[in-house]
Amino acid sequence: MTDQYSLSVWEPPKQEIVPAKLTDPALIAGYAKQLSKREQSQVAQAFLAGNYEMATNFVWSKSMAALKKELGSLGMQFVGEMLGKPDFDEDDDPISSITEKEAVRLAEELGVVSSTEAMRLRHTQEIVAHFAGLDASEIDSEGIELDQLEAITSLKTCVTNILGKPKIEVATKFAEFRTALESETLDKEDTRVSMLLSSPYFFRKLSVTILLSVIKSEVGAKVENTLANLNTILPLVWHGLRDTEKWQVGHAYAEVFAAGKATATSGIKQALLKVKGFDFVPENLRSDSFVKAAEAMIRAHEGMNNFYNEAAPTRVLLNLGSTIPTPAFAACASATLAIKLGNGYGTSWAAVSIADEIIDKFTDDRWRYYLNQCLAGDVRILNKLAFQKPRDNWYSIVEKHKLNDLEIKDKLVAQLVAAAAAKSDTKLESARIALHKKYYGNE
Amino acid sequence: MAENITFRNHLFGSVHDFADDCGMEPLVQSATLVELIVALSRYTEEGVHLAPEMYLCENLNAMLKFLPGHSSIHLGDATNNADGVMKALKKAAPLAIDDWKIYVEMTDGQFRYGLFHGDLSPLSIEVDQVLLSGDEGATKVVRVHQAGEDCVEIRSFLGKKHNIYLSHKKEDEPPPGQYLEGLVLAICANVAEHIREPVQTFLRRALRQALLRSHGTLIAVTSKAERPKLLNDGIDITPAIDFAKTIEGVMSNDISTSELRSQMALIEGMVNSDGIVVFNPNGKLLSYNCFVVQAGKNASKVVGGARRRAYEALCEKIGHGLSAVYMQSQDGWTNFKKEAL
Repeated sequence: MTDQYSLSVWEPPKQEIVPAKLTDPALIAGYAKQLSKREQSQVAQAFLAGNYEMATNFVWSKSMAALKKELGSLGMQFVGEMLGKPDFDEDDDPISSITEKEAVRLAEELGVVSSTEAMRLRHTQEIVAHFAGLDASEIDSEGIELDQLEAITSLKTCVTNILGKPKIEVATKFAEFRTALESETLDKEDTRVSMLLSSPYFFRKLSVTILLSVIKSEVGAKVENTLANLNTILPLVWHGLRDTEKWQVGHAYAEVFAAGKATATSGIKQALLKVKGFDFVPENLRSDSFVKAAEAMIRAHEGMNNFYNEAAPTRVLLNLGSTIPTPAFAACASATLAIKLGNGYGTSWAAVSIADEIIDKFTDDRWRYYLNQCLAGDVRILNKLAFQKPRDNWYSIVEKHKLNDLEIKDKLVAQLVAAAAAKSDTKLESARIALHKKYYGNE
Repeated sequence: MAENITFRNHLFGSVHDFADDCGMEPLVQSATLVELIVALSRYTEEGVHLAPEMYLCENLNAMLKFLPGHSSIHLGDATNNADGVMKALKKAAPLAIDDWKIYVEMTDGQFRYGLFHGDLSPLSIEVDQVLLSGDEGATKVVRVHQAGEDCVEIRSFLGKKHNIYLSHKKEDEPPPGQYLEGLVLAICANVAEHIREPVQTFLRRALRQALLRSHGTLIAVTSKAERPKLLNDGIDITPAIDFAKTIEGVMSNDISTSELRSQMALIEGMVNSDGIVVFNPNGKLLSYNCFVVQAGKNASKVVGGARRRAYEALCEKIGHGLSAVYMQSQDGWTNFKKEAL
């Protein structure tokens, strides 16, 4: 199968939205087609007056609103599936339902922005969140302010990636495939199925997520189509799926079984029988409370005032019990590591000590499981390693828990860990980018 | 010298192919099945009638993987022959009540037996639905249980099923329990599609358990919002028990599953009360302890007691206020009639 038949992340036409050398805020604002002339002028005046925080906040808010609105046009249920939030429905407002970090992540996953631009957007988000979270007394006494260069970079990032485009185009090709998954019964010879098999891991994982989401939430013909498609697609992709996704299928079986959904139970059971996958059915749904605790940690971590809000949900996870059920381990490890690694500005002192207690309980087997089955797809953690402070924290984890001594089957993950053990920023970044590319199939 | 006549040889031959197809020797073979069938047809311990479900499986752990929320208790070991299976039945039957079922598994040249149950939520799929659906590659398991008085059902993982009548019933007689599914479908006919399957699963479980302990009952499904006039003597439940609403609440975590358990207990109590239980097709329980006052047109032609006469009278009203009628007699045999679509 050649690449021309594979699904790939949609890539925007490579045209220059804002000239690379442009540094004048007024001129950059002039390229923001999604801002009115009056708004463009207000941004320019704010820069002239040195009101950088106000200008950056305004531009960022407009950018996020435009991006979220466009993402919402794909369908909020689809967005929920991508974010692992199956409770989203079509009536949900994208602007209030999708967090800023999620919007940037989706934009990257759907190819609206390149990996590099996504990193710039994340950086802008962290700048905005950081300054918004400072106390007035802190600003007054220490004279902390956003400098002009940071403000111009943020403006340029927003205009180049969002506000400078008349309309943000997203991965319509995959959105069509998603519709086909629930409205048609696909044959294994179908070109679209063949395309999926040769696509990056992200799309295979997302397809399984979508199939399970529809099976759990819909009724009638949609469920029958998706069950038939699960029985066609799962045997084809199972061998290459990581344990995290295999547990997801087993968990879906346990969920519909407990909810008395006979058709869905029977259909998922047949698919699991085909792949001999019953080892991945959880003995009970105890893992749900661990997953919910992990989700609360991520919400606090990615929300405003995260340094103040992370400790409480992290303690909830710690108090749930010393043994995290295997089906929930990927989510719990990711959330705990996110707290421990922190962001470009540091970590929450109150939460990190609790996160340490959780991490200290990870056995070598659990670490091996995370490194071999989860980290390569844990984009949240991989993205953090692009920043120096989280990277330094990662070095200390690798050193403390001797992760480099563990058997790691994935070559790129092994490189990532070895680079951390050697405290080599360059090698770590190279392994990180390679993992990212392998997962999404793009730069 | 007088020659004894026994149905043993006939029964032995009848279950031979079934046992062969399962490929589970020595656990599942004709001799074992015949012993179990005869024992379970009228099983009592200390004078108490028991109707345990017995699962013969190749590997307990493999079987339990299909049942999230399961639990099991090992009770003992036994010889790998029919005597071993009978010992397991004798020791475990008094404990196989509510959701507990007996298992016997083959392992290392002998049998191990004990008890297990699936998910205890009243909403969860029942064990037999998952294990005995005939899916390719399913784990090897056979269930033997009493389906009614003098009737034992054997069913395998291949989806094959036999009802063995140890009475004068004719071969084409529908087995007890045959119509339960029809009754459940009639009660859920107008339940909103998104919640229909869970309501069906719940009522199937609740009614099966209630009917198992019943000494005979009559259940009617009315197409009206209230108890129909022909049942002018009865107790109306106000407000009517809305199973669909409760289940929606349970699924959205607004209502505890214990509420469903309490509703199951009410169903059992009403089914075991004298008179007729009335549902409507929206999944609501309207009334119980109801009686038909007027005799049916064909009352004089009916052979049977009061329940049978009431059943016939109700059947005459199908399409005129009633959409389905179900009767279970004292011996567990059933009749069912519903409105033609």
